[in-house]
Amino acid sequence: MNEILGQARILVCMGSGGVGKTTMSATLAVKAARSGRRVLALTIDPSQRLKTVLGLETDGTVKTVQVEPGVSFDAAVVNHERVFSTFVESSLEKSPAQAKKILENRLYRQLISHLSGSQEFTSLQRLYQGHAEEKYDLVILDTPPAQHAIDFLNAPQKLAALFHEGILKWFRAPDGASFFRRVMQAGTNKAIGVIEMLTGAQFFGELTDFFRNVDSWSDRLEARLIDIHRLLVHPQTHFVLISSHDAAKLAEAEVFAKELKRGGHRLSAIILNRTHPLWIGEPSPTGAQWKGVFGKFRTYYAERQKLFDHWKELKKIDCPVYQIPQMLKDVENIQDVAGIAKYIEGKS
Amino acid sequence: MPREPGPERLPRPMEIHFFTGKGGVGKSILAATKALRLARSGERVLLVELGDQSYFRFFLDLPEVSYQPVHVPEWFDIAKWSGKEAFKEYARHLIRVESLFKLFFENQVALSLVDAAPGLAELAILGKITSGPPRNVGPKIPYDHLVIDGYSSGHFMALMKAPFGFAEAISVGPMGEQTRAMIEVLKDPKISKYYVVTQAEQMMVEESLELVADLERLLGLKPTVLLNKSLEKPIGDFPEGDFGKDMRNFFTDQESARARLGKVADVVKIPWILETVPKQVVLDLARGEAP
Repeated sequence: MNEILGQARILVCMGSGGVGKTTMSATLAVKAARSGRRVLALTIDPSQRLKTVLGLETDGTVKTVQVEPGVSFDAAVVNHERVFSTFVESSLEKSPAQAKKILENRLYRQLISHLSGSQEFTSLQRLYQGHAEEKYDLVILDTPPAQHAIDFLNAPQKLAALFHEGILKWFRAPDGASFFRRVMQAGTNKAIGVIEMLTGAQFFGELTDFFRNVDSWSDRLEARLIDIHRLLVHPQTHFVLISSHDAAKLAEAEVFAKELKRGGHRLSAIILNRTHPLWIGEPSPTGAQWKGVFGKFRTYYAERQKLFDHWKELKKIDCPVYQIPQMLKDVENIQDVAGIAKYIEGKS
Repeated sequence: MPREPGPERLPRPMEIHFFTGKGGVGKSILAATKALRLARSGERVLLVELGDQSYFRFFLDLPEVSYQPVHVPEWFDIAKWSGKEAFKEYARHLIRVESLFKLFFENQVALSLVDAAPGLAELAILGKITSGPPRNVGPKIPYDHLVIDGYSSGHFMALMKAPFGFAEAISVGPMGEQTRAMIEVLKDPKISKYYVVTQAEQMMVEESLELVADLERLLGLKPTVLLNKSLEKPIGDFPEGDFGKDMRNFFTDQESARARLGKVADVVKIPWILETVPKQVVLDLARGEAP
């Protein structure tokens, strides 16, 4: 892992919700910072506790996290709304009035929070920004929780398809005429009528208005999506999967590894969190009831480890796999985060 | 001997059980437990997965879980509902004319609009979930209970907020009426039950408290909190060493979780089943007393 952290320019941490992705991203940031690299850690929707530990603000301000004397890294929350607004404004530098019109549209607000792919886009756009700043040697991105990690990488394409020329042209009305009249293909005309009937004219009007304005910056959006894609397949961009130990999560890791490879990305490490408690090697306590509880736990963790070893052998995973024990308490300060670093060493 | 005519069985509204909570707390397991218990008591149960990928496919060893329910012997019926398919079904129901429907769904421009309209997928899913009595929209759902293995907290709130956003934005048209009817169902405590699944860990409790408050604010209903992975504290002092420390932390967290969550909702303790196979966990839980 040290080798990867020493040469990577981008590190993308992926995994489903609840596996401790944000904490692990911060731990990786600590490791890289200790080796002297200038690091920016970007996080999405961190828990209140981690926000406190890292001193982060939801507004997206970049904060410096002091780990130990001489070791620090920068960190920020990805504020989707702010990233998107900044992107729209910079794309429409020459016509701020139009930018304003887009930003004020009610659907724009809904789009930011609801449209599938928009959170993924803003995360990647923020990553791109951080990378382009050249103030950092390494940018680490903690991705939004996805039921399936690979959804994250496909999301920008979905967004690109949506803003594609072919769709937008139906909404163009430079002469001020209703775009319906401009629709030449009878089939589309009827189909759009159906949507209007289903959703109501008011909604449809707003949608049309939004897309008409979006048209003016869709070129920039498409160009940026291409830049982002290039960045993600760059040899100095590495992916880390953070997961847990159970059968379903392991099956997911396998699918994920395959899909990443197919997409031309590098899966450089798998980190399995909370695989076993720290006390697993301790002798059993003496009291009868405690002895029973201890015994049940130990059998359970041993069985899990057996399943995992079997899986690892069977699946021939060709990147290092690290196992992080369950800590005795939640992370309460940056030292707790840094304390995890020792488990992510060596070949696995 | 002819049987005495019993009292007419009154038609009951279908019950909808929504499961949500932070990622990784055990939502799917507890949703399956609920479904299994209901099915074993003789009810007609459909477990519904949301999203693109099926978890229960691996869990129950099925070739596929799709939009149309499949029956799993000795378990329950199961389906996976996505926004796109739900919307398609709704459109088919509304359009009625097959040729017009085809025109619509074979048209790329129109399809992209469905993808683009913010919240439309969410609305379609909730529309499908609430399509039974009293709304009675679209194809009949022949079940007494729908058990929804819902999204995790934030995503689930976005789902639930969708009809409210639409109801506000659209005052006229069929969509406006439909959304208002949907909200009625989602707010009806006789029909819609909400379960927030959590574990005793402080971070999870914080998120659950927030979720309980959000749901209550939006729907005016109190969800039931399911405190997963609960343990009964053994008698006697905590043992020495890290095991003792870990247990002390665990039981401190558990006590505080019960107290804090108990202030805002009914809390049901779900025992910690130390099993590595998820299916076995559900079978063990379904045998117990937990809901």
